[in-house]
Amino acid sequence: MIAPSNLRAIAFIWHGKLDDFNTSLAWSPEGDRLAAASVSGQVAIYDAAQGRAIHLFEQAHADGCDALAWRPDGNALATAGRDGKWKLWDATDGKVLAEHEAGAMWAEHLTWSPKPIGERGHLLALGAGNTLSFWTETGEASGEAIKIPKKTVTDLAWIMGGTSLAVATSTEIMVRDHATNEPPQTFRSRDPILNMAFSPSGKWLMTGNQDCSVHVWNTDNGGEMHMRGFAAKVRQLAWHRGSRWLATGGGPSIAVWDCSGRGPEGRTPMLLEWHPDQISALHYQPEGDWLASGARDGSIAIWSPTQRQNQISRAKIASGVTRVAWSPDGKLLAATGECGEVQVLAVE
Amino acid sequence: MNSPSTPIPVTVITGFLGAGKTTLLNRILTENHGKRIAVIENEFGEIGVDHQLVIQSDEEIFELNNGCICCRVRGDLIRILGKLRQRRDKFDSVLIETTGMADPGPVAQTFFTDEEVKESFVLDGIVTVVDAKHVGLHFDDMREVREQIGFADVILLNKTDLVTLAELEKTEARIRKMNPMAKLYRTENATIDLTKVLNVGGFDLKRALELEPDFLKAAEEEHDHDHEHDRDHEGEDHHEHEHEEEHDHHHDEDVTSVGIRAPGDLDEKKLSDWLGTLLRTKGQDIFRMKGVLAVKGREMRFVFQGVHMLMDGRPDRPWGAESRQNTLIFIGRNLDRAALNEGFRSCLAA
Repeated sequence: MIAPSNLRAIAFIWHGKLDDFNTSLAWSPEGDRLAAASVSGQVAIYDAAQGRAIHLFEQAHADGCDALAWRPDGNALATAGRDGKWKLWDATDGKVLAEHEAGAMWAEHLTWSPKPIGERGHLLALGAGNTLSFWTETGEASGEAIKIPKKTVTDLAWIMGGTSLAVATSTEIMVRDHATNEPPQTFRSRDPILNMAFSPSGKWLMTGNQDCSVHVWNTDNGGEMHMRGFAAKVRQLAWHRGSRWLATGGGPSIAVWDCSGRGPEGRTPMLLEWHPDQISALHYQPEGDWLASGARDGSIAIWSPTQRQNQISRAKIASGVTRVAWSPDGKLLAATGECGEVQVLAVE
Repeated sequence: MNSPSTPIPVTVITGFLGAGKTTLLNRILTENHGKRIAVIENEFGEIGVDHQLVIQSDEEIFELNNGCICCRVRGDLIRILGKLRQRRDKFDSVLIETTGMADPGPVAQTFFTDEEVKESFVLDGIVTVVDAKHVGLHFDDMREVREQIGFADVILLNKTDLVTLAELEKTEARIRKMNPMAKLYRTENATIDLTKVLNVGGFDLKRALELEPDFLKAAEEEHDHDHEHDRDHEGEDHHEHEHEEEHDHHHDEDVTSVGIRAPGDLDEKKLSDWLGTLLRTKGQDIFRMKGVLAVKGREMRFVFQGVHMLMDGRPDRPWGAESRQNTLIFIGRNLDRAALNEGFRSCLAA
């Protein structure tokens, strides 16, 4: 622990407020706007510099909005929610460009392919219950929806060059390259999978599991390792851009694992201990080395884990932190709260 | 979450297809119209009330520890409840309607083993709706029907208008043998005072022994019956032994209850060893258990309740003027009455 006087000051740039628990937070690709969603169904698009609400959609999704994803051109925002629908909004005029049933009562996962998939352009992958579907940039269906028998889609991520989609269910993760249509690669887990995170290099796949463990696969050879001893389920997994460091939650301490060489198993992680309550959010700077963390008491910290004096700065919001996200250039940090806070801050 | 508040009560409604689960569910929603109730239903039910939060879910069992039956939980419920807790100030209770084929074990275990679920929700009770007309056909061939009865805190013997009184009494007696602990009500059209099915505290230690004074009667009757039966067969040792084997075979997979009531103080160490071994070796066959025990050297009553291998127990209140005695009940499949009695007796303090 270092003395607070050694910490760098935080500048609170602006704050907004939604009317209930914040479920999702997403910076636009250019970092000029910030979108946030609430369990009440509200979705707001803010001007990142001033915090002015460019759009506030009061009932974007009845019973709550769970997912946000900016189209890679930054001109449209996809949302999905507990009304079983997904919508595509024009980020400029706020109009609904497309609206579709997602295939289940709750639509929870949305992600755009970072790269175009052949002539189909950037594809939006949508997970709702056991239904996986794909949509074009204009919001039209691309191919038939896929039903996964008896399994719910628990996480989605585009990885490795941006054309392969990883789909997580409780028992396995399946990775399919939608540009080549080669046979998919499958990683099966004995312990139920809750979420996943691929290293930026694509070499490591990490999952947080129901039994409070973290599973790790080396995707080069399929080798699997387990890390245990977490105080709670590990719902936060954050990769450093260099693919060497993985930060995990799962209790009040943050563990940072060295994944160089043969991987993290058997190594002692660095522990970042300061938060008085359970970690609820983690994010590494996309182009830097700082890690942002948030906890259920509203405390926020910024770390440079590999430095000897590893805590950079601290802050607090009024309710438990639900998400933290660095802007694409890493200069601004957005944090959202259980009571609807949207706080944007910067380290001075 | 928003504030540390009391956990939201959850009521599980089970019962075979057509027994009247949805009728009961709709009745609760209609009569409790002032309250906000979240409903998690597993079948495409016919919930007829608007403005309620209804979530459909596909039963998804999470197996932990290599599929141990006592470690199974419901992944779908964990996920749904995890999302509901984000807005928990907005509803008062949760109703879960299971499919007719659902095993109540994983549902109950979800509320005792998942830390996130435990933090915000508490299982109040398992209500099993039984079709008085057709249950007789399912007692023997549907394991699920017996399990749902065995796990219940409240049993509605429904559709009583479709059977004769004699049939009803026969069915009721059979249910009582399986589960003498549950409150049993005869209903038509699932018509019942809702205070009988909601807020029953089925897993609440404080109410662990709010049992009918004669709740052990049915569980003990079978015991008496065995003795009589043995005597009829002039039970010499050899014969009795054979008879018991037959008896066990006949009741293979059957759901029964074993009640024990005895005076005398128990040795704490022996008790702890016995219960520990029992749960470890027989936990998968024990659906529910409850008890109040007199432990030697302790002023307080010791109360416990459990589901499969999960047990929750603690000192309750001083015995005071009440005479110290032990009352236990086990409900499960293939319970070995003799072994349970013997095990219990071995814990009596010298």
